[in-house]
Amino acid sequence: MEKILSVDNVYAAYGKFKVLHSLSFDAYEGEVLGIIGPNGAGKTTLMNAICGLLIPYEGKVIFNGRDITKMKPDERCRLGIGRTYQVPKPFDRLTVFENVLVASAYGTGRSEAEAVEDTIEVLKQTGLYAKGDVESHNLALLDRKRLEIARGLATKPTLLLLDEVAAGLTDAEVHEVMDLVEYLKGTGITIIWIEHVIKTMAESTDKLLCLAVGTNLIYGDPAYVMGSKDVEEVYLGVDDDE
Amino acid sequence: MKLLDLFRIQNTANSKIRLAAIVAAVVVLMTLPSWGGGYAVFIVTLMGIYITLGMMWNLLAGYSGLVSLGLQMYIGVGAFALAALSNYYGVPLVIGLLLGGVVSMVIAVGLSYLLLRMRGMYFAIATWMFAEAMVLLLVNFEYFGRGQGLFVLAARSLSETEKYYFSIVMLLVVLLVVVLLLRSRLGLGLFAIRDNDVASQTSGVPLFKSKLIVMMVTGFITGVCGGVYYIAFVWIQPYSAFSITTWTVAAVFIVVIGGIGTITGPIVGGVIYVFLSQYLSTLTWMGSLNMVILGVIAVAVIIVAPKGIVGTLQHRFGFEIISARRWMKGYVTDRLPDHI
Repeated sequence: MEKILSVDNVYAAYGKFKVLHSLSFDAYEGEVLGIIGPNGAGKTTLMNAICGLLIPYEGKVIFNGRDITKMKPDERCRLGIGRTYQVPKPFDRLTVFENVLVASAYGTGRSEAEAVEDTIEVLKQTGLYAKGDVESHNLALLDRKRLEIARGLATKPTLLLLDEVAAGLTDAEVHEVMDLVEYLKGTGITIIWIEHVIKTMAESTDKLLCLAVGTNLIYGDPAYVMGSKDVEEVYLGVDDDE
Repeated sequence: MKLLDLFRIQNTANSKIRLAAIVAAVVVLMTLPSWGGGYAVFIVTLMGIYITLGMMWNLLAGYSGLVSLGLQMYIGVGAFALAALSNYYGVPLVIGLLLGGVVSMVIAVGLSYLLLRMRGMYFAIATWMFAEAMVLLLVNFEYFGRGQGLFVLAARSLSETEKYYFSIVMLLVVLLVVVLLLRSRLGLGLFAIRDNDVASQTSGVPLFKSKLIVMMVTGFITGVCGGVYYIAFVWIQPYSAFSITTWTVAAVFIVVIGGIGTITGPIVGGVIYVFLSQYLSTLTWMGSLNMVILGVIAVAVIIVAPKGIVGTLQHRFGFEIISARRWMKGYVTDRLPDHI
């Protein structure tokens, strides 16, 4: 498989608060890479460094062989990096249709008229079609999560970053979102997927990366990572001298 | 046909009534001096200027999330540029107005590079600070008449009717520009930035470029607006031309009363503002108390109807006279459930 993303020895900080240090990993075309780790491990910070909201102060981010470390978020989006947010960030006063239209037009560098057809298609795929003309501030959480995915999908990404799509949902709702993730996997888009609750993702990822205090602790097949003593320790805080 | 599409005017009874109303309003405005009285002409001249000003503040704050307290700078710069060009170089008024707009626009570009990295209140205060600094700088120059300011000499020979047409033509052109801008791809991007600037960037919207364009548009139009006002009033007193209370406070009042983030809100707000300020200025015993009254009215509206008059009506009746909304039902043929 071709390498689509390379995070190479990345250090990132919010002001003086250093979050990521010496983090390296690769993602390969078409795979689903799950990223797990306890609170504060730097999962969302890593997403921000990949999509351009945070510029690392050291290290490189390479996308399809191109150094994008210092590129702006909107340019990265047009290159093919889409993302969703853990806490949904809809464009409140716009309708669901308009929300997705923004991503479909701007994320692909097309005119609004050219983007309309794909927008409607994405709304159908994500189960939001019937709510197209509803202002997005009226949506409940499940639909907001759907809208996040719809917007990410509408930018026609080759790499999609999913930030805790299941967080805050009831079990029944988690199932609905998981169906959507399964659909995304079928489209061949490379997915980097963060989840705090490991159980939801362990079975549907190709590879797992576990982060702890801003660096990679362990990487490999889900079964191997889940069985690791180190992972158990960072999550459960097992004593060293048991 | 293309133009009709942009105004979302479809071949339905409702749209025909709307089109007829717009045409009638334009005809009334363009013919007013031939049948209206002198005072009506004067009042509508003022309305054209204040509505334009309100639309510019609305474009920044209501549609792009840029709360500016510095619009008075463009007013002053546009007016002084017009006076200097016209008085010293004999440039015709119309050309002087447009060049004044260009000078304002150039300043808006400079400000954008300096200030657009700031957000919210920091941006607001910084724009105000630059406007204050500009007048303090300007009054040092004999060229701009120091503290006395300048007269727009060529404007002294204009009739009230000619001044009226400066104002009304500007208003109609600006209204058209605002509607086209909001209905364009840029407008859609601005809405996204206003609602969530982080998510807009990761959806592909270029943040700085979009804000820069909207700053340039408001800089140019507000500069022209300043020129038109001082063609009507002839004497440009610098501290008044660069006054936050004369201009930006009026603009905020107009937009808040009318309805922020609506196209027709500044029109309603501007009409009310001009009537109110004219009425209050006849009550001479009140002195500067009239500012207090305007403030009380604005606060009352914010409490009772935070969306403003037009915003509240639109919310209640689900109807917009001129809309920038992209309805999906306009593109699909199958019936959608009526829930909303």
